[in-house]
Amino acid sequence: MNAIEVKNLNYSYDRENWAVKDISFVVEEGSYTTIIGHNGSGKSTIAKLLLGLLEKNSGSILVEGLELTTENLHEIRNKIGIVFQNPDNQFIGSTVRDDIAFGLENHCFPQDEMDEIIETYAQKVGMFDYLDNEPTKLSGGQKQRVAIASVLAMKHNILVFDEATSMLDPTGKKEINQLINELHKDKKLTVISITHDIEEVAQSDNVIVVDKGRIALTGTPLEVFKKEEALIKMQLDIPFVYKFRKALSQNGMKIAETLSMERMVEEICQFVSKK
Amino acid sequence: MSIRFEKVDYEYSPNTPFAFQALKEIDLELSLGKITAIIGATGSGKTTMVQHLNALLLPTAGKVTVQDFEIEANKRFTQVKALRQKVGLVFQFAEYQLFEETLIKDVAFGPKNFGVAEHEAEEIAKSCLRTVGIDELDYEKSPLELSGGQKRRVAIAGILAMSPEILVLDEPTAGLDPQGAKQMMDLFKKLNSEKKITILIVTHNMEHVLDYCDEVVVLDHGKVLMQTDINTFFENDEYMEKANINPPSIIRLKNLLKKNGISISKDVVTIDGMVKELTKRLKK
Repeated sequence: MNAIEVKNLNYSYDRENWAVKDISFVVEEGSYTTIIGHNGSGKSTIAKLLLGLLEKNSGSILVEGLELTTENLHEIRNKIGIVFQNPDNQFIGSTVRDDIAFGLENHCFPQDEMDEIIETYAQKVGMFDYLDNEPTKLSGGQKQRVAIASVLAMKHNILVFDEATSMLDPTGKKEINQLINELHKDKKLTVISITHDIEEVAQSDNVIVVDKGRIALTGTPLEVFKKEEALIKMQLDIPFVYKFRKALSQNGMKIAETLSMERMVEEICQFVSKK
Repeated sequence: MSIRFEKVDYEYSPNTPFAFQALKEIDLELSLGKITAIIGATGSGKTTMVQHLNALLLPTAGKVTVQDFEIEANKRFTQVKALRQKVGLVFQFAEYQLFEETLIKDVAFGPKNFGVAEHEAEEIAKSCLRTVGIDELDYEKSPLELSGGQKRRVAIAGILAMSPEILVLDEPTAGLDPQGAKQMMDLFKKLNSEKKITILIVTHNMEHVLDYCDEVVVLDHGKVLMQTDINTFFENDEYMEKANINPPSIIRLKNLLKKNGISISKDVVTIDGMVKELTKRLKK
């Protein structure tokens, strides 16, 4: 089954310019999809439309086969959760425990079940030892982990990350990228990540490139990075390994296609004499 | 002439239960005319340190010297205005500090405040907006109509309008898309080479440190862990380990090749340079 199916989606903030114009795409269940595009290309608008935070002008969004309408918003949000960019804007509780509990309380979970769920997910994101800490005193990476635990506790099948790492330092970024990878490992969770981090794109299954509110390219990371000129025209970057491999091939060293640095070095070793 | 920190301490909320010492005995000398990167983990004191440079924060102990200005602990500093004309500080997420109705008014605000006549201030604003690459058609627009990256450029233009000799930028590229970030760094390089502006950049982006900066200062828990030129920093694994950073991709590749028995010359840190060396050693 498809986790998400978007058909001919349109949205305009001001009724003059299209922020999202005639967008259609499919996200398979259990896949890891990244959405890239420069600032202002419409990426975050798509995320908000998927969650029903913005109401589409036309087109349709199917979440696990169910069409998103104003009537079934509640049901849809039991299936799909979102983690936002700014870790400071999404805290409600005065402790980490309260914060993760918030969503569960709203869904009237019994107290004893709730404690168990909270602890399980705090453990999963590596924040078990901080359950009684104040969220404001945590580092950016830790805050995002708590936000992720709060969303995971709701047992959504689909998680959207809206530039969840862009305000974090490199350590925080790495932590969250590793966590996303881990959560996605058993393919039970569908991940959609809106990102500028080209190295994160390289680790995803599928990429959707958005430009001026439209889908410009889709495919696996390797397929998309092949369209190097188009990406650069859209103010996007390509991963270092891909650039290096291209420079090698222009100088007569043709090595196998890869986005892994380790793999590239193995290849180079076969061509070059060691000294 | 230089920028000097002598035994500088800074404590937030002293004599309260929330007291926190963010800087501890900072000793540092930065020569003018360079691009210097200030790096270190979140909470290491980078922002606190750079906010001393235009007397936004005053040291709780020690002395900061910026050219002829001396900012000493427990002494009234009276030349704030003159100092702030020399040292321009661009905050993190600078786009939040735009407030005027039009771009041109926003950028002209600084010079006008420093006593420049209205017409002249607008001319300065125009030239600064041009420098940061804002289209002339947008000058009369409201800042609210711009994208995040454009807003940040306007905020930088607002600082440039005061023609600072020293430009301090606190994470100027955070949250920008890759090309936007590159254009921003190119702009700083240009300001440095053409207008001889001394540039200090607080950043987490090691690719930028390698590609654009001359010198690096590493802070750790409020102390200076090391200060060195860029090449020395990226040539020594132990330095990068000590600073706890993710090396730039090209340095990681170099190290990985070395582990596999292929050493690349020390000073080669570009893709073209490395590819050239590798192709020279192709097996026949």
